[in-house]
Amino acid sequence: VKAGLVQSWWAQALLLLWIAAVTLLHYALLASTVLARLPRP
Amino acid sequence: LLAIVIVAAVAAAACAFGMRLLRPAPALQFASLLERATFAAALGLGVIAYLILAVGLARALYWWVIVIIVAVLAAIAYRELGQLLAGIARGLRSFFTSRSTLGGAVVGIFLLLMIALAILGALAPSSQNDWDALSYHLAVPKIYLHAHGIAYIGWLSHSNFPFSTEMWYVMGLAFQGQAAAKLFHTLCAILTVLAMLAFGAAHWERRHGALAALVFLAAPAVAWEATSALNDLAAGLFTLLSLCAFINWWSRRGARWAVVAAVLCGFAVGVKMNALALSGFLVVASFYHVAATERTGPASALRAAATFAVIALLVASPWYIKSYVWTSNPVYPFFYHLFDGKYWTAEAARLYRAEQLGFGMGRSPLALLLAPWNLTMHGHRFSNFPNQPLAYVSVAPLLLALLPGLLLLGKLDRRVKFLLIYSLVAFIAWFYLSQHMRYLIPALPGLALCAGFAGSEVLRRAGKELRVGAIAALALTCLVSLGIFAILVGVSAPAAVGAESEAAYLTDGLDGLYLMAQVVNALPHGSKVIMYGETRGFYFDTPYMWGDHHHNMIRYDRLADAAQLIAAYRRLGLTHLLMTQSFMEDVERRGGKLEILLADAIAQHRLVIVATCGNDILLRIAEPRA
Repeated sequence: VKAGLVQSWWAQALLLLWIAAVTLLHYALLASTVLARLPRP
Repeated sequence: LLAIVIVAAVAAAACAFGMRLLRPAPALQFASLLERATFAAALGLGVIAYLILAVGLARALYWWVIVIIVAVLAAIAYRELGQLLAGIARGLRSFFTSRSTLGGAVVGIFLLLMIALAILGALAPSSQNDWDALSYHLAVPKIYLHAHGIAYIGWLSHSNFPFSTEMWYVMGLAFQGQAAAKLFHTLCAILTVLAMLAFGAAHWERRHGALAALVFLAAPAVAWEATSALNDLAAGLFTLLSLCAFINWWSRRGARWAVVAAVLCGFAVGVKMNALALSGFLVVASFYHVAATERTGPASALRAAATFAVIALLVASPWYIKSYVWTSNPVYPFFYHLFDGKYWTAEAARLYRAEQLGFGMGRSPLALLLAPWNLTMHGHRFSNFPNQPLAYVSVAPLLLALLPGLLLLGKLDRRVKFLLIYSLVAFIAWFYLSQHMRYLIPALPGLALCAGFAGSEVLRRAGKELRVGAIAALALTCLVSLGIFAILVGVSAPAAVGAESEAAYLTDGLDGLYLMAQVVNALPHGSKVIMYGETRGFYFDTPYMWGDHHHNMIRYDRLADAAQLIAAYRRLGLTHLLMTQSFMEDVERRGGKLEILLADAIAQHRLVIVATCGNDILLRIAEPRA
């Protein structure tokens, strides 16, 4: 398999940022919407 | 346990029969027994669905007839059954004895745990998370079984959808009950995972397929569906295998693969109308493939595309012909302005379309561009009940996180390109037809294969930091998805294993509907109930019909007063009404024509409340005064 763009450090850094942002934001939003709808005491 | 044994036995018979149909030939080569078995199982299950449809239409829908069907298929393929069982034993032995990398072992354990939870979830009775299953996916098969045949149901528009999956539910209900029925949908998830593993191993490496399977099952929406008697995972299985067969056609140069792809595409269209987009895509793709590779002129390419279309549509056609004959609309109740349709009106079509368009976050070009992001971040907006817990059952972040990895891989694998183009077509169709997350599930397996490929290649080729980041995202997603699924299944687990009675579980879960079903089932013989604000009739043994919006067997707009309403009820043999509290509030507010008629009927004591259970009220249609 050809190496391609994956060798470039900035492309890897961008992808790393993207994966981290998407994953963390997804779970942060999920947690906040679930918490917001929990019944209050 | 009986349910698991029954579904395993049917799956084995279906697989063996499919293996007989798919005997290896020069034009049909398989990379592994697993690959042959997954194609065969889907093919065999598809054949069983149509045989049950046939006996249903012949009014011979008895459990013993279905036993004979399955037994005959198994007997025809007794040699293949032996090969299959020996292959499974060999596969299990090598699975438990072969050494695996740590990553491989973790992925394997995750997949096994998710599948085990899905099976446990499927064993529980359908409850609050299974609205559509209780309304028609299971309810219609129960009505068919009770009548020992498949006949037109005028008050239930959904019964005219293509219903291949529901034929397996007929079988499950006939053999055991709803647990066996639901397990057929779980089986679709399992076969999809196996098909991904087989495809990965055949075309790339095992780890690509394994990561794809992880991406697929880590979507809580997929996991939840695997516990419920819906049909999206069946459509997903046939869609994936059809795409895989198509890829095998051009990568292995085996002409019979095109036939397999067309038949499986037809089965997908026989499960869900949305798969018509798949058939359109594959017809165009077959034209393009033949035109690009054979260089024999456009005539042969046209012939190939036409042959593909004819096979796929022929396979799917029984459902659409049935609908056409019974309602004059092959895609009833959709496209009312083109086809009309029995017991349907422009107003019903408008209401239904408005409901379908109500999901999602808009249809502008910008919304289309943002849809993958919105779907991942605001998944609850793409569901029926954005405020209920089930709405937070999402597609998980892995697809959106991993797919851009493809941009870093240089020249793209053409199988990935093909799957991506299909996913784009399916996504655009989904975007403009109805943006319900569930309707996207049939396209997810193909997209998961792309994400699995991207993830695996990134993990193999990237620097340490990116690898660690990707593994952390995978691990976090696996843990959260497993946690969400364990909580979801945990609620029903006591009922699934018999530690809690079905009655106690459903009384708690269905907010009075189960208790009301017991009241209705105790009504005198000859009773018949019409339901308002409620469609979930699966637990009713007494005959019933839906009352609002889904048919016009009663033209409320043409009734002048309450007396005419009661007369219309009597003409249909109705003796009772069931309505939800919120519908009753509409009646008290006199919110529309029907509500005014009902309010007048109650005020005139033509309708009398006889029972209230939780959210449901039962009214009796009073006898006419002498």
